[in-house]
Amino acid sequence: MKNFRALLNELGLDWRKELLFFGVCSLVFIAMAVLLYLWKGFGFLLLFPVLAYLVFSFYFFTRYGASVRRKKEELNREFVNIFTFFGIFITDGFTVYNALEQVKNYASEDFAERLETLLRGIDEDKSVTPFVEFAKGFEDVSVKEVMLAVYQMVDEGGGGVYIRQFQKLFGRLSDTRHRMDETKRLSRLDTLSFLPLAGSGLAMLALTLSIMEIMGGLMNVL
Amino acid sequence: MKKEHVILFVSGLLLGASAYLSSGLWYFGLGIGIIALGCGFFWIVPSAQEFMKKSRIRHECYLFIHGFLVTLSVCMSLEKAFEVATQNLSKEFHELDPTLNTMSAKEKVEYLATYFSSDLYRMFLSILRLYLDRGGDVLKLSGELTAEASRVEETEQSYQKQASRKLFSFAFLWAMAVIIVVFIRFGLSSFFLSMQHSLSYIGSLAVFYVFLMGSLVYYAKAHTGSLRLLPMFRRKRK
Repeated sequence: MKNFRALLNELGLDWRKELLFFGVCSLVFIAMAVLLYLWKGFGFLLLFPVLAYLVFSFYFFTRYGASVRRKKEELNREFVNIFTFFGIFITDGFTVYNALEQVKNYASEDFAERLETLLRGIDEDKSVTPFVEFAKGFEDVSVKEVMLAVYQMVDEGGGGVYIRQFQKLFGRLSDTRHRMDETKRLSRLDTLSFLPLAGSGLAMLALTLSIMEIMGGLMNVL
Repeated sequence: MKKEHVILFVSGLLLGASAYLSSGLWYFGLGIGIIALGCGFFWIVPSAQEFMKKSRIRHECYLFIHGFLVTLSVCMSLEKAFEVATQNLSKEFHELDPTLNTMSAKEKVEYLATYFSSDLYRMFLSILRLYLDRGGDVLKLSGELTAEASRVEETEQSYQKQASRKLFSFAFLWAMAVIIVVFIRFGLSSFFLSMQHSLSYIGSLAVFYVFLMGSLVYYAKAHTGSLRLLPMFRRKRK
């Protein structure tokens, strides 16, 4: 329960409202099942609200995890976007600090806040710590490597070697990110290929049940 | 009538016909046909159109940026660079805004930010501003940008190629499933009269077709990245 609440807090949702919504939906499904029972008695038709409820519950509780994952992916994607700008400013002779200040203008509110924290950290602490702290907010390990390359630019001066090192590391990170994005999108499509098979299964199940019902009816007559 | 509307109409017709054949009830077939056309008209076609439009604009943005930067580095003229960069762009681009011709090259490039509206174009604009303010080698300045633009373009092209193949196999599997459902009727012709009046059979067929249409809409969402309604039903952003 604690984890669930923490997850909802991370997404900025109220756990009481979410649970209330789930409760109301559950009652609707139960009411549907009861109505079906009163109308048709105990039969396989009751399977429909039960299956629908199971699908709904699965979707309801897995969507929070999916939202968190989406948020993290979005953050990694923005890192690539923003640090492409950073690379441009650095190539044009800006210092690391000035380049970071400039790229803030292109960042989302959340990312700009992270950059602001990084800049404050650089003001107060000239060590690698602010860069490492900034990289901790990202899941991708390559972000840490890129941030260390950025720190080296501050520490050793923005010479050509360090710029090239940054560009190489950043190019690799961006390449990996694009390839991962593509793989993820394609694997989502792959996952969906089970739907026609599930549809065929559903049709077969329906046919079997109908034939059994008809045969049951015939046997009753006999 | 656009190509996607013709495909939608034919698909709706085929689904309606298959529903009629499998149930033997004309109103069932009509209902399924109408729902299929509705799903396609309100969600699937607008999503596909939006996806194709975005892909076209992304590709044009890539061509424009490359063409502009290379010509600018050679000719050092914004006008010439703009002219060369827009030569091979689509008809839609050239029909964009008639007042565009009255603007200066710099204004035109700035104005196009509303058309391309991508991060890459924003980067391109900031590089151009830097170049106009401070000078330097524009190709060297834009090295990171062109590398990133190429990565985006390569990824998208590779995705679209593979996604089209997957779409074909998805559609093929569903077509097979529908054919199986239709053949049930002919395979079990001796049972069919009783089945036709069985609520559970008709109910199951309805569930099958609703599941089919739901999965098509969901697939459209996964394939195009987002599900779009017809423009008139979209909520306006505040």
